[in-house]
Amino acid sequence: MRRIPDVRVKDFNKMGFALALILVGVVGRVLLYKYSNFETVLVVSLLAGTLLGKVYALIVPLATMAISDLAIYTLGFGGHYGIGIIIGLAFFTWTGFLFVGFIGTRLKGKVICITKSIALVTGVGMIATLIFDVWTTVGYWLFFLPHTAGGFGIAFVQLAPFAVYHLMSSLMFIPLVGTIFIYIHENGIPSLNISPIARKSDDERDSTEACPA
Amino acid sequence: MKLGEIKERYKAILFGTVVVIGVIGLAYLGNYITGQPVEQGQVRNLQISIVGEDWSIDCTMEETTNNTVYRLLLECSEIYGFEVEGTVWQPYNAVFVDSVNDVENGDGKWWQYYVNGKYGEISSDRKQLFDGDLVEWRFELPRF
Repeated sequence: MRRIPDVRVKDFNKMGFALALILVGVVGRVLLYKYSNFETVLVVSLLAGTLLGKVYALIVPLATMAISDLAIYTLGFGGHYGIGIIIGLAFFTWTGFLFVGFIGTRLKGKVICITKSIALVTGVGMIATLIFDVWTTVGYWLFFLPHTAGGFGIAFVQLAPFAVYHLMSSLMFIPLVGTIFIYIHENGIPSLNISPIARKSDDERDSTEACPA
Repeated sequence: MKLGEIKERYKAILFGTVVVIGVIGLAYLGNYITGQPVEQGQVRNLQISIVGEDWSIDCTMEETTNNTVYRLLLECSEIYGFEVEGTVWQPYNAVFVDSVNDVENGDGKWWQYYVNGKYGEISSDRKQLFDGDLVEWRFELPRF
């Protein structure tokens, strides 16, 4: 996998990019809330780690979850859970997305706007989705089910449909949102005077790239 | 168009095709796991028992077209004048019962159903009933 040798980072651009990721994560999560396990937080967490690095892999998932949880529970979408359950579930979902961001950092510098890279991010995102689901199922077992082997087993039986639809969500959103953000990361948006975050030397870019500037 | 560009386009088309097939496959799998919607049909001699913490309601339907656990609960609620609240969750298109007779899910206790003593493992609106079935709704901690 080629590495991008010359990455000139502008903090302002990075912050703007991170804010755009947070916006996509929050809007997607709130709008899709009733479509259980269809969400855009996972993809923005993954992209934050992959395109922006460790600090943003922390900031983007936390900010997205904090804002969207506030919106969801304020608007009354979140059901009638007690504060203990809300905090407990938040621990598992928030740390789950932090872990996805961390997985994303392992791809930092390895992703450019070509099909192979987008396929790589999608594949890693699918694995991250399964890890996230297993982790949050442990939380579901702890907070909602008896702490027995039977309870643990039923939690994972009940996970099956959720995991299938979560994988479907990731398979839809990671290539879609990923391609858009990887393109902007690499090429910026000239019409809006937004310059790219990652800049490669001309000889690094060859004719095989799908997203030329 | 350069050879590299043509190759990249083919890769993009191939990847897009794999994604579309994957999404369709997962949609079918999800639909298979969650169960198919039940068509309305006539059933006879159904019994339903709803057990709250310190109360219970019993209904017997000699003949009805409400042939799912959820629809039978709604029919019983109309007869006895109590409320049932449920949420339809997408993409499962399945009902989750939130409260019965003003008793809401919470503190680890949930409205759960049993048919002929067997714990309901799918959504109550997807569980089909047959002649002579006994349905129980219990507000309790999960029993497993």
